[in-house]
Amino acid sequence: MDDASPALMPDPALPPELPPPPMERINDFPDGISPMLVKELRQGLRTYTFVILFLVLQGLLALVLMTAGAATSSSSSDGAGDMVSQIVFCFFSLALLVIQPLRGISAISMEIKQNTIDLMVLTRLSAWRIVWGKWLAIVSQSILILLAILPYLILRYFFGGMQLFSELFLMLYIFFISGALTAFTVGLSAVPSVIIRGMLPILGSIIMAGFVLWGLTPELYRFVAYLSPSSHEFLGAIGFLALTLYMGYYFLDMGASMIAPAAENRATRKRLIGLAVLMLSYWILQAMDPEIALLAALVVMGLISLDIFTESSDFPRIVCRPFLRFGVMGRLIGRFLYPGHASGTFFFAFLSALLAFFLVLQSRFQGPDLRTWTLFGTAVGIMVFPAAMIQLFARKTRQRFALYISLQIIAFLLAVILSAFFGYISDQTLLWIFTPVPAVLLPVTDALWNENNKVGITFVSWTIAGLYYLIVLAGALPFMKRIQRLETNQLNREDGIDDVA
Amino acid sequence: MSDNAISVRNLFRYFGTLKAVDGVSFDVPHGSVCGFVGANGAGKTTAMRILATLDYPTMGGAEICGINVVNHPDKVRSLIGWMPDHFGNYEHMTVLEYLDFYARALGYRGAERRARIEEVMEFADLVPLADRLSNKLSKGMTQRLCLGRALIHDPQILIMDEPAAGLDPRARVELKHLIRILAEEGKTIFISSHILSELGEMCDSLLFINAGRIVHHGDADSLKHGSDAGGGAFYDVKVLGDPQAVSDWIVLNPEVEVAEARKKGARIRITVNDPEKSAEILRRMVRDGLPVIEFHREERNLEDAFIDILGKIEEGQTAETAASASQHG
Repeated sequence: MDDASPALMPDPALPPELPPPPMERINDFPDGISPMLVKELRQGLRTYTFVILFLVLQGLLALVLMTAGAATSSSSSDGAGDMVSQIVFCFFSLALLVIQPLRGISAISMEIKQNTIDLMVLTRLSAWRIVWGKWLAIVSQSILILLAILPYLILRYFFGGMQLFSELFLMLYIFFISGALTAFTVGLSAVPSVIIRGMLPILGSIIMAGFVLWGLTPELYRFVAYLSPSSHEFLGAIGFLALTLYMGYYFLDMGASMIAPAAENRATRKRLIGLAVLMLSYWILQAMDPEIALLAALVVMGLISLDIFTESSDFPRIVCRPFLRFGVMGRLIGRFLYPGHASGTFFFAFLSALLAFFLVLQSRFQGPDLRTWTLFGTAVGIMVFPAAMIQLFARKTRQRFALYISLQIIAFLLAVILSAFFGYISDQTLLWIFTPVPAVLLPVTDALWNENNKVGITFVSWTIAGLYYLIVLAGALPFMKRIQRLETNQLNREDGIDDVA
Repeated sequence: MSDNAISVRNLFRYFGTLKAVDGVSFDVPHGSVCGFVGANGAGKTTAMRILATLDYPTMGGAEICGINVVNHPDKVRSLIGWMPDHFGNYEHMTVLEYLDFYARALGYRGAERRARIEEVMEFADLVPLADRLSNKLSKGMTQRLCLGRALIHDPQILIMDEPAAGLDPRARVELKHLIRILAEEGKTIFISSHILSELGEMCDSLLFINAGRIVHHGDADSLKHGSDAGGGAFYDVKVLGDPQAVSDWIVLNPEVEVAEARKKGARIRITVNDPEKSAEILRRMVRDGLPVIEFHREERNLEDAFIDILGKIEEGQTAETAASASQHG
């Protein structure tokens, strides 16, 4: 039998002592490196995906460079240089924006499926370090690809006509976007729904591949120009990068929240960070362009709402402990910051009120803008609509996240389809029928906005948003009793065992 | 330090309307081996996961060495080693690297890390497998690897959920041997299994759980020698000459019944459940001139004991239902 144990079943044929284990083989990484990164790198560097990707990329780029070199010896070098840049960026972008992020697609789901996530959680690795390590391992390999590409870009310099720093900056920019996309797939891989964690990254990678092949590659020098510090778009590009980095953090933390033990409250910190990012992005960007500032704030609010409306409201009483230290004030703050969709409903109201306050402040300086309020009301409606549908039709579901995303996708598909048919609809008042789906209000506003309709559209957007919010609020109230019971239990039995109620 | 390694009080865990654990209370003393027995879905794994800080109770609580599992999961984790009922191994990772990952994750550095890995590899006999890929091991090897992993931080308490499930007889013997060594070293072991005979040999005490409730907590010997569902105990009696003599004697002794006539005597049931009275009945059997050459008490196997206990519960429930029906009627 192959799993025989010589120590337990003495066999005279075996040598009396076994050789010591080959311990030198586990000294390949120093102790200072995160255990998760060590594990992922040991596994990742042995996988075929990375090895093949790396070798193919090297082979192709060497071939391109040699071909271009041969071409320039016989003709003008300018065209060849541009072509080399385009090909280098095309391969590099496909590798970093499409293939590398896709490698995170089963990063956490595989650990959950194999039951190894429990074993990791029982070590000193927090849920965040597990997810961070998974992400970092893929990004480290992306760094290897980036470093392997750099010599080709330097060689391309000798073909002439190159904007060295802008092209290097674009490369770095792509690398950061790749990091955020990898965070998206790694974080999403913790979602229980196979359809959502599989479909969204694949759909995203198809879109990204299309962008690289038909957007970035042919228009490479337009993107290079955007990233020139002297360009008008430079600050916008930096702002977009900052938002992308927040999205990267957001998705990693979302993954960590999904695998963290219930006693580890990640929701509070996530909400506070989201709140800080929302406020910062609004106040920094509104100096440049108030409309972009509002859009950025709504994107951040959309991400926060995805989280707060889909979290489970089931948590142990120990979560209440830090809040209870601050007495009545702590309990009040807990109503907004405890984990779960119930407190999330109140936090969402707070965010909406805060953003409304910012808009009022802005209106004082620049006069009221009904269109901005309509956009804001529509966005609030869009965010709260799936939560209201879940409350009405599937309040006991264990797949809140998947349902929320699916409803949101369906709503936006409806909006896209309707906007495509606007030209063919003779009686545009028919469009009002679809406005209970708030995403539809976006094309409706575009199509019907005029002096006669604008007040009506604004009223409809806020009425629908308010109605849906009331539905969600009605669902949240019963959970408040449970939270109160948990707080009482925690106060009465700080460190002991609960009595049965 | 607390007197008990594991203390569970009024533990409830509900999943929606399903009562996975329904008011469980028990203690496991330090240094003992406690078997946790129950059918599939009885609530074993849920209770064990709560003890391992992987889940939390709906109500009630549990302590490991006096530390609350919900309030101080990190402290509890340093005291326990957890072996789940099933788990997968990593691709592209050798046995040595697997243990190294967990040693690093548990905070071991440098020489200490290597020493811990070396120790568990030798204990679990993993040295010959050091360079084998961890996902290409047999079930027996995998369980030894899992045990090695659970022991890296030298925990005081081992919580093992069905560790022998799916093992061939030899691997089972090996695992049992390792568990015995750990018990001798003074570790507390809380182990669940379907194979009751094995638990009976290994465990100091047994906990039976059914439908989320503890239905028995006692040592294996008391179960084997304990009374049957009717409150009696069986004895095999052999006599010299005519076996009918046993039945004739029993007619005059109402506390004894013939369960089965046998070639050299009979299998009898003494209906009283008092050892003194049982001894007196057996003495009387000899005094009355029955030519007894042998009698011994039959040991029930643990499966029978488990079934008996479940039978008693069902009887109790039926009686309760009947009483309640008559009250309402």
